[in-house]
Amino acid sequence: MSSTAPRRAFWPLLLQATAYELRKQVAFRVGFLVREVSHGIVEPLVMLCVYAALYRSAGSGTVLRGWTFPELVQYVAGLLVVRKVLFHNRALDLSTQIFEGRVTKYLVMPMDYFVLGVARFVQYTVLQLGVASLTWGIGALVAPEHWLFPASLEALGGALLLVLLGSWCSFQVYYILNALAFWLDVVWSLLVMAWFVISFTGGALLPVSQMPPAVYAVLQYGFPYWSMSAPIEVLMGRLDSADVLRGCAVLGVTALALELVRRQVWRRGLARYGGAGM
Amino acid sequence: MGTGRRSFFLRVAGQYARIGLVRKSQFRWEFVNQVVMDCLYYLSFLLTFEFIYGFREGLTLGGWDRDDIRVFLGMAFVTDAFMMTWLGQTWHFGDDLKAGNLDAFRLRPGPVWFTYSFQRFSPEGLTNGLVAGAILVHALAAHPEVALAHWLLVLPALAVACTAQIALVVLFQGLEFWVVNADLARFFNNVFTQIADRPLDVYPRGMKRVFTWLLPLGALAWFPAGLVVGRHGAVFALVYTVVVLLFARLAVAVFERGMRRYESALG
Repeated sequence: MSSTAPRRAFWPLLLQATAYELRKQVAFRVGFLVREVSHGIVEPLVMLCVYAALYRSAGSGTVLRGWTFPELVQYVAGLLVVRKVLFHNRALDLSTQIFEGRVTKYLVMPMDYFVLGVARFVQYTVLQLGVASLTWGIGALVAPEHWLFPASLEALGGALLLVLLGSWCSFQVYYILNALAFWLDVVWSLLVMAWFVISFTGGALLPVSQMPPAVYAVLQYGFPYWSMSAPIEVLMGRLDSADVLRGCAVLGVTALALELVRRQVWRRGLARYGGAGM
Repeated sequence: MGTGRRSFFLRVAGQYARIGLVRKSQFRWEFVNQVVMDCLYYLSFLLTFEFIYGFREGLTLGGWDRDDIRVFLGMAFVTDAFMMTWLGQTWHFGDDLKAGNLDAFRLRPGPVWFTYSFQRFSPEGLTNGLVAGAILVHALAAHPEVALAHWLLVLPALAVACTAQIALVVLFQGLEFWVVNADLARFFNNVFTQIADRPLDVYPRGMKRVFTWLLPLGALAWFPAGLVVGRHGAVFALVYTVVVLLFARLAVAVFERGMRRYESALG
């Protein structure tokens, strides 16, 4: 399907679509608070309780595989902030649009459909950067002695770059999985699976560098580690600028590969698409 | 509960199971996906705790050693599989409430909390239940202090856990009648599952009390696992069972009160 009208420019369209996405998110205030503000808060706090119990059993001042308890508290503080920014499995509804045939009306418009997905990503990132900053600010005021303060401005910039690149990779993964709706009847379980894998291999349950050395060595080749666990270690000053560059390389290559896969999946999916849903 | 009423619940549940099997036979790829999905969930937890206990010999979490925690995780997985098998419709409660989809259930000859909550029988949840059961049996068999008498406690312990799981789902759905559009049932289920997936002894004392007595999340895995590994005495077990039953009654009452507020599409 195509249109003979001149194509709309990417950036103004992205800006407009992002504004609509933002309005949609804040339309229901309680739902907004529950879904967006509280997202990703509970698991790190639960993890903190587990670690507190563990270090109580090990004795105060103990170092367990390179981490002391105060360092883990800082890691959890970092998780509270970083996980908010990382694009998650419920933030995209592309599969529903495909199933219900709602994609059709956009395909005949003079625009690239992907811009709507990118607008969702931008809306999510802008909103969550705000919520994450607020979370960090509250933590810094309430518990400054335990909270995570960036080791340097350079570390803050490096960590932010890694998180944003990692979030883009997550977005691409979920976009591709959503686009599998062209072939499958249900895709939500794939999205949840991806979320489990990204969370675990990214260090949501325990820092990747605290896992057994062989596991740590393998996970350093994956984008989840550089999206979650590594940026926090950069903020803490445990990783330096050389590590940031290495992370950017892994994330850059991953993003490129995912972009190629996304284009292929979308092109082949559209070839199967009948226009009235799947 | 009289025999006739009990047989009504069983007959309805049986029909829901039949429909669930027919429905899922048309989505075979999805069946595989969901089984794999829950296995990944189990794996991530098992690995996390194996890594944690692997830091050093002799570590415990609030007094739970490695053998105890394996039993705890087995219990948590079985309770979760029960929820996924029978109570999966709760993920759609917010949308159904907004769209007025509860209307049909008001007309059915049975309590809405039951006919609504149990309608989506999931064969993949049942399959995961078998995997979770195998993990639990393996953990119990490998536990050096679990004797035959403890094995006899497994079924009653799981009955308490499943009752608490039903009560929590019904309560969270019930609360959503007061806050439409908030997705509260989904949110609470997510949050409280994460809390219940760790032994309550790791939490601060006040929090542990709340999740033991006020909102008995402890009944999902902490109580049943503690019972079979000998961490809870008989008196506590009896008292706690009564607490869970009272909580279940309260949850149903909240839901029924919410239903009286329901005016078809609330969106």
